[in-house]
Amino acid sequence: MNTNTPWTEWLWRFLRVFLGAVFLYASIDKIIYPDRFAFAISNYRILPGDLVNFVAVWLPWLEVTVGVFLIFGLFEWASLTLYNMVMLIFLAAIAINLARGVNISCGCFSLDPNAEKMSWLTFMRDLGLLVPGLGAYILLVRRRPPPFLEKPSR
Amino acid sequence: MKRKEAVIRFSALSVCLVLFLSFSSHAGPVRVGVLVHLTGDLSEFGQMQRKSMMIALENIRKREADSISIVPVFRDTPADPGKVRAVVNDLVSTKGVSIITAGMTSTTAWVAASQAQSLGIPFLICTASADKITEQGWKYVFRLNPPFSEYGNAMLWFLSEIARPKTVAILREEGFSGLLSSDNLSERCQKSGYEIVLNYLYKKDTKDFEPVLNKIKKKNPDVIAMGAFLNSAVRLIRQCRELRVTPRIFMGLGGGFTLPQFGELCGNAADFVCSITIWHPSVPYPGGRQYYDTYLERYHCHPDYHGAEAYAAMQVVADVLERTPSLDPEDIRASLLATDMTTIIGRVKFVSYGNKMQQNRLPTYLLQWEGGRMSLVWPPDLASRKYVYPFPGWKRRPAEQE
Amino acid sequence: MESSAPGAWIFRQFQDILIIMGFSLALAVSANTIRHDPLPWVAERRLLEPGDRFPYFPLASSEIPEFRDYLGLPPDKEIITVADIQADLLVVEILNVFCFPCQTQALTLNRVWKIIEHRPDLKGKIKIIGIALGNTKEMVRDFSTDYGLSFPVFSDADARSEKIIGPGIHTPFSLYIRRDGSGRLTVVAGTHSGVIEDPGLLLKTLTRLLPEEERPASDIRNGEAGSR
Repeated sequence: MNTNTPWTEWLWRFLRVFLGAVFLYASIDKIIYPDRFAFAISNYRILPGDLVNFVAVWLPWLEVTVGVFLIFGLFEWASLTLYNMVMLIFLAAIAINLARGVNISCGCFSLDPNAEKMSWLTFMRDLGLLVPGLGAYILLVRRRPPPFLEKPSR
Repeated sequence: MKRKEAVIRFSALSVCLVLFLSFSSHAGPVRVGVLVHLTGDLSEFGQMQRKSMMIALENIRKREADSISIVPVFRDTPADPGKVRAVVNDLVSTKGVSIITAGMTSTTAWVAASQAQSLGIPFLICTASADKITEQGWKYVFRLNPPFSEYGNAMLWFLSEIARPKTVAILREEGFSGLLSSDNLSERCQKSGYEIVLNYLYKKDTKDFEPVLNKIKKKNPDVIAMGAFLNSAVRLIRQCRELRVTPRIFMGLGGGFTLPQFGELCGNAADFVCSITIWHPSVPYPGGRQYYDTYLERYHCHPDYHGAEAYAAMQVVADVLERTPSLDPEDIRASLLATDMTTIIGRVKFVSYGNKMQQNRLPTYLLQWEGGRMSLVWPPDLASRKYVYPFPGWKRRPAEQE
Repeated sequence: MESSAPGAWIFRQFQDILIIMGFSLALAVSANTIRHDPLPWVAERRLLEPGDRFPYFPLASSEIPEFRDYLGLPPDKEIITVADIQADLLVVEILNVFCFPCQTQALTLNRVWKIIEHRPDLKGKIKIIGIALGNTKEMVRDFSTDYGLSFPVFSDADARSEKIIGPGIHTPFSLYIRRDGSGRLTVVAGTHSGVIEDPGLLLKTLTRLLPEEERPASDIRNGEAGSR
């Protein structure tokens, strides 16, 4: 049973469209330039070589799918969870390389090789995109609660 | 009639004169000056070079019965560079040599080359490695052997293309005059992005390397580069085995690591130790193995690259003298410039590049011990077997022999 | 009525996640097949061949400041790619500065460079760069000085060439890159593994690969075979 008030319902719709749009926007460069994206992934030096290609080809389309599903409100729980998982992975990869002191571009939204190198600001920015994603769970629980959390109707 | 007879006589005389002049330049043996260190500290190498050149001449005569007759005029090169000029002058003015070849230290070769240049006599260096010798624009000076800056190339090539180490430890013996004696190698390692975790100079008679090897073990470098004479080389490797020092590669630089005695004394502790060299009997150029076997049989001693370079120098000299139209220095120089042949140390062609002029280019080689034998493992197109990298450790060996 | 057990609900969400991932994977595979591009990173597990698109290979223009004009690079770009270079045909030589055959090849390229720069019908059309596999920029600098090279050599300390050009690359390895329809250097017109000692022979190979309208008049007059 949806227990959102009208304004929290609108907030939920706004958030899922916003987060979906973020992912759609992020996927554009990656789909146009898969080789640059693969290069950017390899720069992180986390994935083994064979997986770099696979992730470079698949990840942008995962972003597109999750983005579209969020915008149209399909598979809400799964889409939101995937959004947050992907953002957490990005954040972890950025944190690892900032700790290593590696001077690379994030590759998150732009694959221009002359783009600014990532910094803790990049980390904060992505954290700023994760927080609403995690916060949206509160609204989603109220909107579409899991059956075991629903109060039985009298 | 009288006029006709006079014309015939004059023509005949002219023909005879022309024939005489054209053949007289090659009539008789050609004297070739040879400067080597026949006495003193370096006499071991000088004598090796003298013997190697004589073997070369024998082989040339055997192969081509009508080859030009070469008479080598050996002169002991004084250690004092000040006396070197006089020796060069003597060879040219008194002995009438047409070309000089030299197996000398860089210090003495520098003086001799400049003297040959000022006398305008072709001068072929076969040992001295100081880069600057072929950077002076001396048009009469040619060098067969690579310059010092290129000696380490085989090792640096292997490291940069295959091993890609991050850290290097260097151990150098006092008095060692090889690649590690200068800072050239450590500088190149640093420029290549390798961190030098240790750069240690030890005394000649050091017997116990445990303290420094334990330090190295803690730092766990990818490469251990050692510049050592035979006795230290053997001690180092044995103690590395006892202490289980295990880098990804052992690089032995210097004669100690390429002598057969190293393999005999270390047993299979020597396995997979690498070394670099300018020449080894296993390099696949024609005549090299035969030279090595002849020398060993005749003199009961293994010739090294000094001897091979001297042998090759005589091959080049003979080839040049066969081709030169006359013994005029300019003709001999032009023939040297046109040289393109394969000797026992490889292809010889004098080229100019960068600051260098009339410098032959030769690869250096990476050798690796296995089963008591050294094999050429790099460059790959000349290798007799594949390299073993990384060092597989001390455990997996057959029963060790002492 | 749906089961209210948490486990069951979580399992359903997990299924939904898998569905989304599977769907996106199907999209990715279809898109890649339609594009008909080789996979971007390890180029289909083979060396680049004529006809391939030269992949993304970023190079640092700060390593070769004295060659910016020669290559016609935009002044504001630090990271450039081959496509940013102004030429009709580009020789990309993958080499290692300590590799003996590569040093020989570099000397040949030097001679070819000199010939090209002295020929008005070729100057500006054919250009040469080197990429030093496994070498740092300090070593590349020393190499360029020691060998008196007239063309720029970039460092590739991380040995990206092996992944980008293809596995099993043996230096020296030459690629000849030609302009595509949009005028950018993207098409691999030819490759060669090993040393070419004769500068005349190499130059002949290069002029044959030039676009027809850029080839020297003497080549066309002599009825040389058309470019690929």
